[in-house]
Amino acid sequence: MATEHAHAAAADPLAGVPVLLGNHTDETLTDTLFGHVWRKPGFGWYALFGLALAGFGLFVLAIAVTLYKGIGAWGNNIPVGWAFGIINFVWWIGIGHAGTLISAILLLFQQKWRTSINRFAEAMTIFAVIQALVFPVIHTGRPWYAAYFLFPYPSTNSIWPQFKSPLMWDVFAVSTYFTISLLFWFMGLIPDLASLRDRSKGKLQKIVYGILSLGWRGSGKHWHNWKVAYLIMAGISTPLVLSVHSVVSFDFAVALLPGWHATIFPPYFVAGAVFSGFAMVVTWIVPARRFLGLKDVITMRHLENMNKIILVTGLIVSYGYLMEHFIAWYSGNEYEWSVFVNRATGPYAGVYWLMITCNVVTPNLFWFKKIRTSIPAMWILSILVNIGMWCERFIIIVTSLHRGFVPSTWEMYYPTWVDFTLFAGTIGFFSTLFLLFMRFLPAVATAEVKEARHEMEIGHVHHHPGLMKAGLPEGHAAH
Amino acid sequence: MATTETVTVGPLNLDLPRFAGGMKWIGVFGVIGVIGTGITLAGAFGGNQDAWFSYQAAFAFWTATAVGGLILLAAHHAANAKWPTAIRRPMEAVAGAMPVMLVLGIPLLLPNALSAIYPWYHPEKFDAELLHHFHGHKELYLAPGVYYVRQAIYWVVFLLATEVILSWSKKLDEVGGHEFIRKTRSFSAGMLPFIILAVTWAGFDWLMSLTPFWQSTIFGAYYGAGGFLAAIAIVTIACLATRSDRSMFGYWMTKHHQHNLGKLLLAFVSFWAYIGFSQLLLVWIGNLPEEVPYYWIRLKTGWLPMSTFLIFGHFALPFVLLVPRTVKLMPRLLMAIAIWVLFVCMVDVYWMVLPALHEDGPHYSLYNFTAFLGVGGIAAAFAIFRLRGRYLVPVKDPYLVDSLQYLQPH
Amino acid sequence: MSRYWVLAEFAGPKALLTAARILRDEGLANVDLHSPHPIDGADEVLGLGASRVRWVGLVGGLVGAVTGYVTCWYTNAINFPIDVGGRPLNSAPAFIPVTFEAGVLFGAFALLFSMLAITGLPALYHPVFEAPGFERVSVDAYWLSFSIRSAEDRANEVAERVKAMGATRVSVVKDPRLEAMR
Repeated sequence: MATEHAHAAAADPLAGVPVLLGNHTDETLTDTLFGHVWRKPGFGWYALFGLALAGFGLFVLAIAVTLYKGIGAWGNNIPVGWAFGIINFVWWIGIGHAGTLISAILLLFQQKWRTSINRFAEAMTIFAVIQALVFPVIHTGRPWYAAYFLFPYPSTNSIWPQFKSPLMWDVFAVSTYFTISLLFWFMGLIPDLASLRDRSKGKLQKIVYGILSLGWRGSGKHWHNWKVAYLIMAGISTPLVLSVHSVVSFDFAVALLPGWHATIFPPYFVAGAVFSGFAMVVTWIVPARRFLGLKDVITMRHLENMNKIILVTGLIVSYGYLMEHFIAWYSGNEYEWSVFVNRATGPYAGVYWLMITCNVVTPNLFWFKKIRTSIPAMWILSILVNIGMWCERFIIIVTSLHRGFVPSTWEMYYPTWVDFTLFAGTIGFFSTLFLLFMRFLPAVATAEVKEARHEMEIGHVHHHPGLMKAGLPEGHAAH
Repeated sequence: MATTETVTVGPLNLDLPRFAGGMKWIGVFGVIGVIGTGITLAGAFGGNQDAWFSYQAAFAFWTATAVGGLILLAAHHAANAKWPTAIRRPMEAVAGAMPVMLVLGIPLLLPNALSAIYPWYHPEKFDAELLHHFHGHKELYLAPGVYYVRQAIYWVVFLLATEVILSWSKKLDEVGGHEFIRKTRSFSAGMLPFIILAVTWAGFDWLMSLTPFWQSTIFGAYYGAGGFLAAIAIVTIACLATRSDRSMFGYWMTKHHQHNLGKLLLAFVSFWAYIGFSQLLLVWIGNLPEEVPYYWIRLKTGWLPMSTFLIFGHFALPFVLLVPRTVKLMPRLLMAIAIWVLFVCMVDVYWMVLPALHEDGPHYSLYNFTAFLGVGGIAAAFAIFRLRGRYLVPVKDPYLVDSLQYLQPH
Repeated sequence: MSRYWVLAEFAGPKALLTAARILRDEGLANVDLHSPHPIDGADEVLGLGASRVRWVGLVGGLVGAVTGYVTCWYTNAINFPIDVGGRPLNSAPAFIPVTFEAGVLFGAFALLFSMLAITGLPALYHPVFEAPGFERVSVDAYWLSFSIRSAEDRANEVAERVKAMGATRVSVVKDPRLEAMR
């Protein structure tokens, strides 16, 4: 039977690289996947962490300057009242979306390959949403007053937030999203935290991981309720993730500004978010699988699948561009059309064409399997995608604002050094959090990988109604 | 240790007869189709606008459904999904109605039809403001000659994709092996963008241009999503209706496949609602004079009950019903839901088309029914006819065995 | 009489399930399994019906959605009517995003808290942790546990029987929590 299986596998040219390599037992899996938590970090980690901390320093500096001088330290002014703040907000939120998508949607679609990368991607979600939240909060100028007008509580002003404004929807969408991502991530971590507790050598580690794992005993009752709760959490996270970027898109589309008011915005923003999010996962996971020793669980299969998703979502984004441009022309509305002409030929045309190159042209290279499975190629492409998606938000926001209906309102927008520093600072802060995560928590959902391994091993004892109909004995299978 | 995801048992040669039946259904659908289409077209050429609009709606609905079947089929191949192999034939059958849809669409290309249905055919009747917009860009775009060129492009894409995939499927039934699966896979992936673009622009041409001022960038997605959902509903109905006959696909549909069909219905009922809500919210809250009349007619006149019906019938009811796992596993109930979904998809297209004719509210006429039944009857009869002489399960598909042993996780 | 926890390690999930089934058939109600990952079939052996967290989650979600809508409606249409560009005070389409988000938020919290409540977590201490080797449960070991209220020799007797079922390692732990309460 074993040879038959080998033969069948060889005959199937379409069989992919397996999702789990090597000859693992539960113990070696645990050791491999937790290895990076126990190992003393090498020079490389410290070097990167130092770099990230320096970036975090920029973050602190930019915020300090902004709070000291006020929002005037940023380059946005009338008519471009919204610029780097919202560009970076949307960019970071979008990046977060891949995490939820991998966790939730792939779980519902029963994509077993997700178990190797979901923890990683969920962590990315949380850290990215933290960066995103920084911008609108700082943009309020005096963040400690922000709660007064963001949340509906009976204040002495005796007015309430205005719920017909998409900005209010955004407050609810993003804060819900952050909370749910955290809960979902934590829920998935509990069994692994218990595992860390049980493998801890030091007393402090044991106590910290012990508290975090809530006393998980891996009991039948625990798993029974945990599985249902986790699955439903995935179920509700799926529409949630779609809603979040849809609501972000409403921030623009509800306005009547040419270039913003387009009904395609919600799905097109969601696709763009997933597009950039998967690209960011690839950017981080390519080095991480190498340096954390995770090549057995994060195989070429995972990378190729992610690249395919980048291709598909890139095509959806291109579809969004096409619809916008076509309808702007078809509508016969000269204001609408002039925005698109201005985007392609106006003062920001360079950014526009960079966006088109990175978002429309380069993802199509993933049609080729050679490129899809080449580590250097995918790494470079993933970075280009993130550049492209940043340019997209810049183009949408700045070009629609800087030329209003009347030429006398036309004004250029230039970011200041504080804008750039804050943006660089969030990248530093994000990297700091990510490096800490990879230092202290397992980067792969170990309990889920174990379950998947067991399912693969004992898969053939199941009852196969379809095979029985074909007259084959129940559970007839090679091993 | 097995590292593959599914256990391979080698090729499976099911000893099934080729499909020789179906004459009864071809007869029933054919008679309904010919009578329905005949009455509608007779009325239409007799100058009845209701008949033209009904025929246009029915054509737009059933073509979107055939294209939906094609997208379902192509997406299943492109995604390397093995589980639907056993129930692939009904997807192919839905897409297989494509050639007859082209034939049924020919009357709508005639000047009588364009003149009766599309206001842009008579720009001389426009008021000054509309005319200004029309001269903007639509004048060239909607000129009849350009319109015909576009129709030709859509049909080349639809027919090329359908016929190539179906002919390779036929060859696969004879020779087996991986070659044709591999070719279909690459071809499907490559064609999908073109199919989606074609159906988008078809939606613009056939439905959006009924109201010359109206434009919505999401309209193509809305139209395509409805057709896709209708195709899933038909596949579900077809599988559930043929459960007892060993030579039919329905017999080979396990409860795991059925569960997935239920999930697909749930997902795309929700997707339709998401697209519909996005469009409604943005147009409603924007309240721009060039956009809002589309919804004004549907929400502030006699069309309101039908709009409300769509919110509940097309989304809330099937959504609530399809969420519990047990419902998706109940054949009769799932069948009822799928039939209902197919029905509301028709209502949805009716709701997109007819308000362009009757702005004050629905005026039901006999042609509404004859058109949908007639066009659908001919399409169904043709689709079933094309299955004759075929195996109803891809017997030599190398992944049939994977499909049969497919299990839902618990 | 004290409460004793009998803990037995088995070679794999199958042996564990078989032993658990025998013990349950004999009428032991509080048999539990401990494993590094969910075991297929464990729910049935342990007699666990459909988890109630789904219902709590549903109720939480509905309560959240209603709360979301009512907040928008009450604050913007009743308590302090805000006219925005002539749109209706009670603008259902504009209130749907907040309704949805609040439903998801409440639903997720209901799920988490009901899971914790049903499983009795957090419980940082549990007598089963006293058994030597039990810490492997989170790695690759399969254990069975149940508690009995009896004298010590009776507990040891039961433990011997479990050993006869094929357990590779058996421990009896006295529940210190009951002692402390006395």
